[in-house]
Amino acid sequence: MAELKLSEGEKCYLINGINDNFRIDGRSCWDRREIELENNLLPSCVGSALIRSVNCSVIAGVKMSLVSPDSGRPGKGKIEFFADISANADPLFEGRGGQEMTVELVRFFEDSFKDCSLLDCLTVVEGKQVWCLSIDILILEIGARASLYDLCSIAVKAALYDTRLPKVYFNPDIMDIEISEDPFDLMQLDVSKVPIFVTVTRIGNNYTIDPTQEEEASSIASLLFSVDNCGTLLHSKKLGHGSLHCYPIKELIPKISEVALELHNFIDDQCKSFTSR
Amino acid sequence: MESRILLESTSVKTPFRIDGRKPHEVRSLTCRLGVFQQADGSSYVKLGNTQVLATVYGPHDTRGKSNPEKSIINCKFRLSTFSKSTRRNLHRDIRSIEISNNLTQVFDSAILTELYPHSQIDIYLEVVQSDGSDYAACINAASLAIIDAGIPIKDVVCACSAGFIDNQPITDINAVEESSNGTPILTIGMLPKDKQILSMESSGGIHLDNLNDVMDAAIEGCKSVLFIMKQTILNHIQELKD
Amino acid sequence: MQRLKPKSIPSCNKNFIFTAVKDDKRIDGRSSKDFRKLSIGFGLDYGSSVVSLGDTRVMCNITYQIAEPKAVKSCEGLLNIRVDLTASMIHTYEKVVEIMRMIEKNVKDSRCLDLESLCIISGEKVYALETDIIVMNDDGNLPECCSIALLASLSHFKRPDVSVVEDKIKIHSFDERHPIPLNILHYPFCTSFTFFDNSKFVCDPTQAEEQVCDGYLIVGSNIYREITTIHISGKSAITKDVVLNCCQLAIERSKFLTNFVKLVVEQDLKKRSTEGAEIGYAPLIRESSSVLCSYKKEEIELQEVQENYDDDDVIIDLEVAQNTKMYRYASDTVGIGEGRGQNWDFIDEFQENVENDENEDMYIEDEETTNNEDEPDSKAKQFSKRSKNSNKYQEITVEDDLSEEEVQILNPPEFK
Repeated sequence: MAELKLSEGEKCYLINGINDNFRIDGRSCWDRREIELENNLLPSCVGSALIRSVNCSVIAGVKMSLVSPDSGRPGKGKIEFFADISANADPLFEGRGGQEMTVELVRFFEDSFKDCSLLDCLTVVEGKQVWCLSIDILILEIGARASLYDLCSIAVKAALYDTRLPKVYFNPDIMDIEISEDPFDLMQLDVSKVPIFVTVTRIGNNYTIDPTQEEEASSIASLLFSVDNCGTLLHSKKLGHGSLHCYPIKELIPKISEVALELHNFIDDQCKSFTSR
Repeated sequence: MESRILLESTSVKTPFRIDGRKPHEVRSLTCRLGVFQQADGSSYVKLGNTQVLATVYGPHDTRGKSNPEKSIINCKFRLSTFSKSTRRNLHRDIRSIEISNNLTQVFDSAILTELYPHSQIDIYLEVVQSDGSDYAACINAASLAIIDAGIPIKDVVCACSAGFIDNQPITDINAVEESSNGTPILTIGMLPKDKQILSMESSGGIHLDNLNDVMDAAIEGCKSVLFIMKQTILNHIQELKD
Repeated sequence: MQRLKPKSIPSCNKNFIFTAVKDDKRIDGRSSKDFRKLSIGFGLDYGSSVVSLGDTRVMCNITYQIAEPKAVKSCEGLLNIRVDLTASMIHTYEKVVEIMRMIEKNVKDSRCLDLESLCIISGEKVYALETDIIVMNDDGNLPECCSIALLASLSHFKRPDVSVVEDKIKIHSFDERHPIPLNILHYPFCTSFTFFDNSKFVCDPTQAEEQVCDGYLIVGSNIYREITTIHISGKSAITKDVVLNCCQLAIERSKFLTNFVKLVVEQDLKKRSTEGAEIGYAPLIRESSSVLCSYKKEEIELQEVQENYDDDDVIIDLEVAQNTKMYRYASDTVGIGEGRGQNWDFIDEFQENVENDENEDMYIEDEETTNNEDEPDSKAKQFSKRSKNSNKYQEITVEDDLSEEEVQILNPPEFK
């Protein structure tokens, strides 16, 4: 996963191909590679998912706890993120090597999920007790950094889809909550509003999604958007060192919403096809 | 306390354990080689509910000083944050460092390091899910990953844990049995052909008279594990040929 | 702090050790199953001990705190073990972790200490014991030495008595109520075996042997024939029979150690109860055969005076020979007596002599001069006369206060 060094000739070939909407592996600019999704593989987590793409895999696990809410947001639950790159991906990430990337990733997740409607589902007793979901993202393999964010967000959404929280009954007479012990008395979360990230990378004259490592090495910069299932752009961030013109970006926005909706549908279909536990 | 772990069945002579196994049964073991394309060698081991991923990078240039006689083995073990039922912080705690050290020693003796002077072999282990016998599963996973990487090794290193509850030696401890008070646990990592022990870790008191039986239980467990590992390796090679 | 590089052992040293071990011989003359001399000393505080095994020296201190117990084990006290290897700077952090985990597994996982007796209020307040093991010198076999130090300290340690009145805890001082010792259920000691060429092993290795060995096996055992911990490491591949054999030896050793530690602790506690006995580290520093002594001295036996003697021989008065001992500290250093307590009597002399400092100095330098009538002070005259006399006869007269000038006389320049 070390920075790929490409010769000028290779870059030239690649960029010219993309200008004609033809990538080196035969895809068009807006084609995504296959993604495999697997649910419910970690018994110690209330929800988990494993995403595998060609040379990128991510595991997301969700754990729950009951906490008191923030004083400014008494009716909303909490979601905490933690990301880590395993040394399996590259010896560079041994120990604390991957901290730069993970800190960036976690911050973007936190920004995107700050106003998510999912948080309203997590209230137990308004003002007193709310669910706090700790989502741990473990990156096992990395290809291109640009596609990493997309896959992490898919993993998180799939893990949240898979999450089953025990139902909590509030007894107003004794002002106490009771967590149901029945293993089948579970609550599923409404993850329709959970955002998905889409990264578009500018190579040559066109924007592409899901770049390979070679394509990323010849790119100028990437734009990262978080989009919800209505196609609304929630957050954005620029990755990379190049500069971008603003007019093409404006044209880009409807296309991004389309791509995001595709992804949302893909996840919904995949998750529904897994039989619930 | 002990009766929770080992249920004495009145009709059948042999007692059953808390997960329904007989005392000398090893949990179901599935292994896969070559799970990551980018690493030189990788493997995935699922021993019951314990899931471990191992990757091997090397032999490659050393980052610091190099040894002119042999290759430097660098082994890092890590428990992921969601591996146990309570969420853990990812600090390098003493237990992880201890296991990393032991693994480095094991593979330093097992790999033919004299063939690769001035180089370094990195072995990384990630425990995705921990349900007892982490150390044993890690040795098995690392051993398979090294074979997948094509690094010469003296023999397939296999490992298994054993314990002693209610006057009965048991093979392959799970998390519940591990955490119950005072269960003595013994993990043996060995080279199966010569029956030589590369690593043995034990904690909790085992009486000397029982030590022989517990060690035998672990060695028998190693044999079962070895059988499955060898099958996996042969299948993998067959797939590569096709 | 920079770490020193570990000294690499020359291969001829390594080969020598290997061939010697084959014949059951070792550099310090022991056989492969012999252990080095063990001595334990205790400090003033309860729970402070120093153990030396040959040249390896380890100190262990136990202190206590009142803390909250763990949520999972709410009626058990806490035991925190820390090992400090900074004094021997060649060890890496990995080695520290190895030794620390070894001792933790041996003592904590084998449950040798009854932690429930350390509970004051269940779920709220318990005793938390902090153990600091400091390695003062590393000459091999650290796990054994550290485990002996830890167990000696634990059996020596006493905690203050507490009484719980309603919700308040009252800790009684040692004068109010007798302090209570810890409840130790069994004594698990570690024993190290290092392997050379797979089948040969030695017990209690020195630093040199540890560095060249192929592998090592550390066994923790107690007198009830329980094996508390086993740790095999290094390159040597060991078979099951060897392990069982070593475990037998370890049990024998731990029987000896258990009795030894119990005896030493008893002796020390007895000393404390007798009036006027010297306790603590201070007296140990003075004793040559003790655990804290860093030099070794041997007594010199004085021969009878011969009739004919040369000018070179040093003759000592019979009185001196009978009352004072002579010690040899090194090949070229001999001491007569060991020094006495301070005698401040001569403070008046000292004040008078301050004015005549220069004269005194002259005398100390010029021992050859016998006649010097220039000194103004009478005392100074006395000194000069003495030096005059002693040079002529080379006689040593010992008076009650050994002042500086006399010591000068005791070492005349001709003394070889």
